Amino acid sequence: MRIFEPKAMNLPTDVYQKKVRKRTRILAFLLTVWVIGIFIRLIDLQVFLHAGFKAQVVKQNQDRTKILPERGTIYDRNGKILARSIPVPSIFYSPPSEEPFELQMKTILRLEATLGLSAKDIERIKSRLQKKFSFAWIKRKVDVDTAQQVKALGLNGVSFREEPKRFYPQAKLAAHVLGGVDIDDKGQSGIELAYDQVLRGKEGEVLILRDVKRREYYSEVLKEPQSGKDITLTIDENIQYIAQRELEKAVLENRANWATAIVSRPDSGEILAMASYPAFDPNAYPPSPEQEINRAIRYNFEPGSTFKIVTASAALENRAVSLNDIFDCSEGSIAIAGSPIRDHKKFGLLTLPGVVAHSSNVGMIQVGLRIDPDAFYRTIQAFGFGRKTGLDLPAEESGLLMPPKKWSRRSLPALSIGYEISATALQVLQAVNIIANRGLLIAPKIVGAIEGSSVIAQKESTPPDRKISEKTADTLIKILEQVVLEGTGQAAWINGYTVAGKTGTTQKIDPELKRYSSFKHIASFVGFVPVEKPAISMIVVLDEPQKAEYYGGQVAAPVFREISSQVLRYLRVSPQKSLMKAALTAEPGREGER
Amino acid sequence: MIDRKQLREIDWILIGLLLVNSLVGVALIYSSSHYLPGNLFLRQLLWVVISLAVLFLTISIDYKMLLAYSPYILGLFALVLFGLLAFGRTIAGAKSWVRLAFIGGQPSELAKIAVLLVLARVFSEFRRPYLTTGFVALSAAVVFVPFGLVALQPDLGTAVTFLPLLFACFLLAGLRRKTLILFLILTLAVGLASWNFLLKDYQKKRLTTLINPSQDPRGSGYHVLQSKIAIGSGGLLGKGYKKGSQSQLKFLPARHTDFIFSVLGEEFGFAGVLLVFFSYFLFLSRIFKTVPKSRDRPGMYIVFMAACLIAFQFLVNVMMIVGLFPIAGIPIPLLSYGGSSILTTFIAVGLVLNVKMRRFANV
Repeated sequence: MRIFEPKAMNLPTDVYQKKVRKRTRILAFLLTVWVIGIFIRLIDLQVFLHAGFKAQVVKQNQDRTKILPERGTIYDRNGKILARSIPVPSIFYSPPSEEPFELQMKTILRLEATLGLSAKDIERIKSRLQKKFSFAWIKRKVDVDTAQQVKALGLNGVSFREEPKRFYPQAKLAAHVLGGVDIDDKGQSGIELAYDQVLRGKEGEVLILRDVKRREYYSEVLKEPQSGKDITLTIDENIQYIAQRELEKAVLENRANWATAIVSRPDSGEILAMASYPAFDPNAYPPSPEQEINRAIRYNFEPGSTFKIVTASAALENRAVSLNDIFDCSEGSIAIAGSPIRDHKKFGLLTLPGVVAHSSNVGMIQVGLRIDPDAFYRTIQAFGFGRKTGLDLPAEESGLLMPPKKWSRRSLPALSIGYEISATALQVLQAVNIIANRGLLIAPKIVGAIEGSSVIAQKESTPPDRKISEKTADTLIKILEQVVLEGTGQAAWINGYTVAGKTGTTQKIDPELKRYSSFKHIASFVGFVPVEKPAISMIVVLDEPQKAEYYGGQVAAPVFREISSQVLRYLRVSPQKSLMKAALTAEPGREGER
Repeated sequence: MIDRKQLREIDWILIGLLLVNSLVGVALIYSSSHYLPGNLFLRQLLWVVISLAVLFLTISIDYKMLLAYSPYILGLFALVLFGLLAFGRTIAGAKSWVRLAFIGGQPSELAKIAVLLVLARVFSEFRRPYLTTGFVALSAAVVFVPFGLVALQPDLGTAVTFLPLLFACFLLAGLRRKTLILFLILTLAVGLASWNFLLKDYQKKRLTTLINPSQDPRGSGYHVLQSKIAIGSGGLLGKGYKKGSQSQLKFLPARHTDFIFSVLGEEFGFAGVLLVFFSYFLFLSRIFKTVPKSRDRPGMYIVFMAACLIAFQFLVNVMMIVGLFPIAGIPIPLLSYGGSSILTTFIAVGLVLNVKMRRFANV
């Protein structure tokens, strides 16, 4: 092995060393330039761009999250819970920033089966991850067991948050009144929508600090949330249940399209039940648009014969007719502007009570023609037609009422029997409540109290509005009692109670033929019981009953009777008399009306 | 081999500076990894102690002896690197690790020393006032073997660190202005050619994200962006020891290795960076001052190359973390965690001390 020995240098040592010094200086110079470059960069980063980077640090490890306030509970008038919010787990994903997109998607796909994620869900999460969002809901409001299963998987970036979920313990009960909420617990319809601000409360805010895996290591509440207020409805859970059950039964029996019923307390205007069929389960909101319609306030129809109450009141109020006036109904038909309007039967000679009791169109048109159009119009308005009742529910319809100057020759006779005007079931009930209250209008209400303090007391401090004279109302009550005793409404009679009411059967306009159909009807009954001191008033409406019997007196009146008799028992309204019906009428009516 | 007279010539100040910088590294490693299992800072401390022992061993052998054996040493390393390519396991994307019993390391790091010695020997025989083309080709061929073997692992970052050794030799041998320009053109041509034919997609991506890191903040731009956020948010005075949110919350990747300087920038701010630069400057300038004091040419080359090797890695790493150079996986000597890197740097300094203490020895 040869040990390497450097040979002697060619240059003298000092000259070579000088050269080396020079070359070392060249390198030193290059390095200095390099270092200066780095220093400029460092000063730029640490001094000039400092604020921006500091903000970025905050952005990537701090989250400000809203704390959802507890949504108010909705109670019925007896304090039974109709809707309440309970915290349930929601699952979200905070993609760990050091993981590539593919790995993040793998995590999501591992949850596909456990959470039953749809292709749409996956697509939504994917697009959020691609857009570099630091937060994506995987599935919200799951049950505790599912959350436990997901927790057990221990997936990176998958976290949980408690969120209030709206529960409706009675499911379909009063669904149309309650309405529903969306995934964020925001009211979408019914009371939930009308009182959303009240129920919702105020959001709070929390500051959360996270590490790179989006794990929370510190949190601080910046603003406490304020819980929403509780609402007590005027609805009675039991009455609502009775109404819904009977209504469903009637719809199925008569093969009707839909039906609605409203039960109220005339003296306070409180609505005890408001039912609509088909109903829906607000726990699975939203339902189909068809199911969601609250027919009691959102469906306009020509009231037909129930409107004869208004015509009779107008005639009496304006002294156009006296109780002894005789109307000739023997023809069974009357010609109006060239075309005939018929009764379902030839009645002969009738007084006003008889006309109403038997619901004679021929007689009622003669009554109507005696009333001054403007006076008639004022009375119709006084009864609340043509404008909303102002009930605290969203999307209430106002019906349609034409002023006299727009009337045709047919209008006055048509109006006297309830055509050429449209109204909601609630408007008709409100009109009957005026009669029941001896001429006073007490507007319908559905919210009884907010956070324990009564809303009704405030509203009632204003004195009730007199719409017709007590005398006219008393007369009408007697006539309506006769309707049930011996007229078209006998099916509404309840043993032991005095019942007042009016039947209605409306021909619907066939949208294809653009004229009144002989096959499509709306059957209704509106009334109150007991007559002396009405405990309840009620309207029942059935759309297109398909059986041979389709008159209001045949289809709707029995529903009124079923609901009323049960509700009177429930409310412990004692019977005033126990007269047998047979003693009063020789021939129980197979009478109907047009 | 070592006598009392030479022992008195050991540059204790240089060793002191070496240790000061190493301990700064240990402190930064503690800050960036104390929440991780494995006590990384203790391991690093152990490596410093081992490397110090190896440094004294390096001093004890006359560098002329090392130069004489250098071709064999390089040959041995070439064999090991080749064996790694053939049989090595891929760890973190490259076949760069050798594991013997309980100790592991990257031979590519130590290969730098072998290349340094061989180049010193080759260039010490060059007698002309300026560099010739033939000699450039010859020396480039020597470096090409380990460069190629390391680049194939693939560990381009480590491979590139062989090049400053070569460049240092060229500079010391004497460069004409003409040649310098030729070098620049050649570098540019090689750069363009490798962009088009050699570089893999991920390497290209690293280069493009250098220009615009925010185009892909979660992908390849992530490291640069997080490093810049760490340094930038540190400001003038920093957030305080162990208080850097970027490193403590693990936003910063490779905190205790390649990105240790970002931790420094975040926790001690520009002031801390300046201080470490100063201490590093004292350390490097002491080595550079040794160059002309060497007794012979090979000694000069050894010292000059050792200085360039450390300076180049330091500066490239800092450029990398401030976003001026692609993320190449080059650790910062003495500060970054890693046994092989520490050992290599200590041996390099050992060679410098070796040359310096024998400057008065008779040939």
